[in-house]
Amino acid sequence: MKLSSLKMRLFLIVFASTAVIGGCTVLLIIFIAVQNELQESKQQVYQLMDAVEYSAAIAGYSGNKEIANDVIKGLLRSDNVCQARLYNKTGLDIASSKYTGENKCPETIARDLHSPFDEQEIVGHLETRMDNTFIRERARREAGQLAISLLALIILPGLVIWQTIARLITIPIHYLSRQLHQITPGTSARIKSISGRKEDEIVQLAHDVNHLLGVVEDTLIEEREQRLLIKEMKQKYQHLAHHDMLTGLPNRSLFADRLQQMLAQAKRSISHGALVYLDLDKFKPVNDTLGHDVGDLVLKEIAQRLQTAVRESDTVARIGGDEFVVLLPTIESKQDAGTVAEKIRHALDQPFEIGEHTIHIGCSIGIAVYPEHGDDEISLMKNADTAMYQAKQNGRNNVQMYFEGMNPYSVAGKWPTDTAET
Amino acid sequence: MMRHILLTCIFLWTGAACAEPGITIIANSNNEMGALTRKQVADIYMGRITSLPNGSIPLPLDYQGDSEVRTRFYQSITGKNMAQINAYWARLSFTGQANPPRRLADKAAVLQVVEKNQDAMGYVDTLVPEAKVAPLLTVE
Repeated sequence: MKLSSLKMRLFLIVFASTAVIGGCTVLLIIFIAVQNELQESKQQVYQLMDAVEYSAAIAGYSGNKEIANDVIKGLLRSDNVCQARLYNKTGLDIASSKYTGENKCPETIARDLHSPFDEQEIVGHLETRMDNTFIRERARREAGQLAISLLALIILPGLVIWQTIARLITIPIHYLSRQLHQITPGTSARIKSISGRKEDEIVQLAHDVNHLLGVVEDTLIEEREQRLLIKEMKQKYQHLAHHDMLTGLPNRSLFADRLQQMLAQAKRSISHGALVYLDLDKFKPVNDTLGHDVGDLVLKEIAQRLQTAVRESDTVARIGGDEFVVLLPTIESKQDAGTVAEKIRHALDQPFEIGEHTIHIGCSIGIAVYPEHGDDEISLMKNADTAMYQAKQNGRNNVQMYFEGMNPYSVAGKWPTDTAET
Repeated sequence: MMRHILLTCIFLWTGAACAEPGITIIANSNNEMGALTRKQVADIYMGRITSLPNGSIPLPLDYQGDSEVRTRFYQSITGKNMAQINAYWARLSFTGQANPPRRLADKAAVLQVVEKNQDAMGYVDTLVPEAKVAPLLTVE
């Protein structure tokens, strides 16, 4: 049992106070007993001296040693007297002591002896010394016996009080506390109440703690659900922020990130990367003639085909109404990019079957390759765009690789036909 | 006789002597004690004084039985009654070291011893003039 535990502390407090009270009582009893005994013994010595006074007076008056001896012997017979002396001026001096050597009895009781025939005349003196050491010892012995029985009388209630408090309070609290300590809040675990106990504060406490545990569990469950909901929503909105809602492809923002990543990666490993820019050729008329619903379905199908056409590590993004880009982060050469682009063009050149409609879309593709056609996002984008417009100008549904000197003004979309190159 | 004394007492109303006749303590005419005080008499009779300044041992004499004069004598010199005096002697003589005064039959015997013995002393109610003893002290 730990020293700081309730039961141990209660035990220590009850017994420390019992010991202190008991000790003080015993000391007080012994002190009072000794004082009383001394007082009483003194009284007895006085009475004894009263009893022998007349004989002593006769001895003093007549100078009779025999009587004086009898008186002294009589006095010494008392336990309370350790020394007695009878003397007068005319040579009588009888003294006797129980102890030899040092004087153990400092307290003297003396009285004058008056002549039996003349109250005025003093015929001798009687002195006794009280045996205080013996009286004290006797008092202590007697008080000690009383104190032991009294101590038992004090310790017994102490035990009863300790046991009662332990049974009523400490043990139940210890029981509840140990159970509560093992319970993780929010679980379905509850305290087992004390069986066969009356509805008192401790049982009430157990009930209330259980109620509290219930509330905590409900709250935690609710909170967990809400957290889950928030997480889902967060994921959803994060997806929405970075993806195109219709096709589910990465949007311009996520694409910009991926492009940046691709360039950083390519710079570190001194490898190639390609940016494939494609613009749908005949999409606007679909929207205009067949409606946005059909247009949307076409866009979804395009996204599908694009993803099927590229590898897992490649990124397909929709960056405008009918504009897409494909990032190819790991290519061996320009030719690889061209192959992929051609695959894409072919995929989109196949007719789309939407309901009863058969639709032809097709696309124009421009490619810019890192590091040959630019070593940053802006130049790569610009050059891929330039190449794409070149493809448009070349009659659509074809792939153009950028090259140095390709007319940049074509980006603006109002390039003159005479500046176009192949 | 009684009537005569009574009459005398009535006539001599102021005379204290008539109320009770005094007791005279007597000694041998050759004694060297001179006048004694009542206390000295008591000390001798109660056995406290056992020797005199000149070295002689005083011989106090007493009467047998608790006679009227004896009672008056002890009452006068010690202030105690006979029972107390007897108790005192009983205690003292038990030790074997002290003895009460010698007790004689009557006044005549006392006078006879006092006349003969130089250390003897006694007491009498009325002192006859023809006795050859020295009066030491008269008490009421």
